[in-house]
Amino acid sequence: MARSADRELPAVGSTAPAAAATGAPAADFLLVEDLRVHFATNRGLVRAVDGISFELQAGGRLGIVGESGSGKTITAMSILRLPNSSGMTTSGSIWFRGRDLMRLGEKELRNVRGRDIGFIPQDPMTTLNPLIRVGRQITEALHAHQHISRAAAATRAVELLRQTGMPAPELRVRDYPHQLSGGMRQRVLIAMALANEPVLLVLDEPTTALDATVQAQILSLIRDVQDRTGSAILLISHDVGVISEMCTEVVVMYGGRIMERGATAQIMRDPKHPYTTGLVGSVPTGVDKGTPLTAIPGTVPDPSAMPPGCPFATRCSQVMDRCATAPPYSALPDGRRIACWLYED
Amino acid sequence: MKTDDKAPAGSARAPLLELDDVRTYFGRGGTARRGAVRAVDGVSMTVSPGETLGLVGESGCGKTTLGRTIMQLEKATSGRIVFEGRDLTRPGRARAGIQMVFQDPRGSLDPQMRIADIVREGVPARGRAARSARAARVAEMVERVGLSGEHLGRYPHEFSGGQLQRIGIARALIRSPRLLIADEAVSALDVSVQAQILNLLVGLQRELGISYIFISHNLSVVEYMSDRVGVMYLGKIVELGTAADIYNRPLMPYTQALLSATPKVGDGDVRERIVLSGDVPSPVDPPSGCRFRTRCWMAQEICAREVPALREVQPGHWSACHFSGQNLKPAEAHS
Repeated sequence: MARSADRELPAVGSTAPAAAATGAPAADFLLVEDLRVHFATNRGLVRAVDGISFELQAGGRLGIVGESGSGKTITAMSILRLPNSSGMTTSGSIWFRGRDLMRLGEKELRNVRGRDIGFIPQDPMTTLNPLIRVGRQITEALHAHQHISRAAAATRAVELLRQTGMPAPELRVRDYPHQLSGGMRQRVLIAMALANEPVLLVLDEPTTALDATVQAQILSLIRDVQDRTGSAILLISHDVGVISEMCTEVVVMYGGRIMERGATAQIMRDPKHPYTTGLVGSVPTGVDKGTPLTAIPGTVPDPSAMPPGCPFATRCSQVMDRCATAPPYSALPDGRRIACWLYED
Repeated sequence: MKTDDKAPAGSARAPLLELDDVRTYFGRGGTARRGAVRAVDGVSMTVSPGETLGLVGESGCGKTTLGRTIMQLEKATSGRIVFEGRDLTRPGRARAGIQMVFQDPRGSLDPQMRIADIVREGVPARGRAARSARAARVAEMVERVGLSGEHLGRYPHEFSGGQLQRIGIARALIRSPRLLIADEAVSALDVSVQAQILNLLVGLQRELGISYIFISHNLSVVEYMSDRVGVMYLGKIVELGTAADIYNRPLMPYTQALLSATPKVGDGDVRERIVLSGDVPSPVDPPSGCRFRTRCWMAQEICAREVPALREVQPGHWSACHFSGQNLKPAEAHS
């Protein structure tokens, strides 16, 4: 731990305007720098995440939006540090409260995961152990990071479940996961993630498997939790509506790279990158049936065959010769950052 | 269920499809006995020629079973399904003229067949001339859905989800249906590809004049596609009207809650929202009276006692609520 605490914070090239105003170092809380996660597969090298950088302030709300294959889930998993799989290579840094998570030992990492960082996955059915009562799964999370008696843990488990809005939590702790509905299982996972009062919640498509009215319950619960605990959230979703509602800042990913990032309201109202324009224009909300949607032609290329420069070049309506080399990230006057040759003079 | 004599109709024209009190029960021999799952429980509605009727609802509301019942993939327990004047529930009646596109194109196309064979399957052709005419039609149809002739000899695994859905649409359209049932046809697709398929479906309808029943849990997709929309809850249609009626002037509290629950782009972070408590009850043992009453902020004693009929509250706008027509706003339910 001392080893990494000694490490100096890296120089921050991409200071967010808000942080610059207060003079605080932007990297105080979470700073991802040039993260790369590559997989050697028998079809070729897959650059699942290919050089992305972003930051999140303490108590902030950041969304990562993208379609399948964009690398958004791998990015989230990297923050909890993916299990090493054969053929996987990683590089870059993930600075979390002054320590580089990429360089922590497994034991130190275990102290961060589940205590400082809580994780809420998409599919509660495959994350909960089907053979263990949900109450015990919550107390296990408590015992992992706190010296707490069994009785106190049991009481705390009921209390945590109650905070998630679970009806009759003192009875539900005795249920097995299959006895609960999808929304209730998601509440159990939220209770587990909150058990050790994390300062960062990473949520990977937390409501994608849920019905609309249940999704509304869970989103409002997540918002309540954030208001109450002040923890930061990093929310991964394919749904621009969910991101729009939950996050003040957004990172738009495609083909393992960031296309555009900045304030959510600004990017949704006035997308600049051709991919973001297509993504927002594909959502039919408020569009007359007579008006064709701004669909993006084609499909996401095979991950082992991404174009060498801008990954969106094969589908972009404004593609140029220059797009064969990757565009740099540049800041626009309104503070957003964008990777597109259209905005380079 | 009592309705006002006639089924809720879209227009004055003779309907293409008319459902009269259709029920589909599962288990225990599919009877009305206790323990059966009442997946569809008394649905009456019509679809006019060239119209798109959207069906929305959450999982377990019966929208998929209703589509499959119309397609004759499930047997209706009772009720009448009249298509082009013929009652499909009578024995020996084929469903010619109705086709379906499914949610999972990878699961609904035979992986061992070439695209040409998948599209051609089920179109009879006797003799050499008929066969070459059919081959030409297959090629034409594949191009019409945005693929090319070179794709005909390939197998499903060589295609992306969006392309497979195009193939599913070509397979459905080659049999010249008058009604196409799209059951969550774009739900498994990425949003950019989803928009391509929606554009394709709208274009084909304009060209061919066919009717769609567009089933989805995604409210904004249904609004974009539909002329009229039926909202389902626990096996029943609880509200039916033009897309503008449903989305701008919803009468039924459930519809209001469902609309309010959907996050929209550009809404920002503070918004009034009706958050329902609890989950959808089990269709094995639905609540007495109005099925929504256990989650409804308006519920009164009458709601437990009497099943509200689907009434025409305003011209063309039907609602199954005891308080429809009275000015019901969610009384600052939650925010």
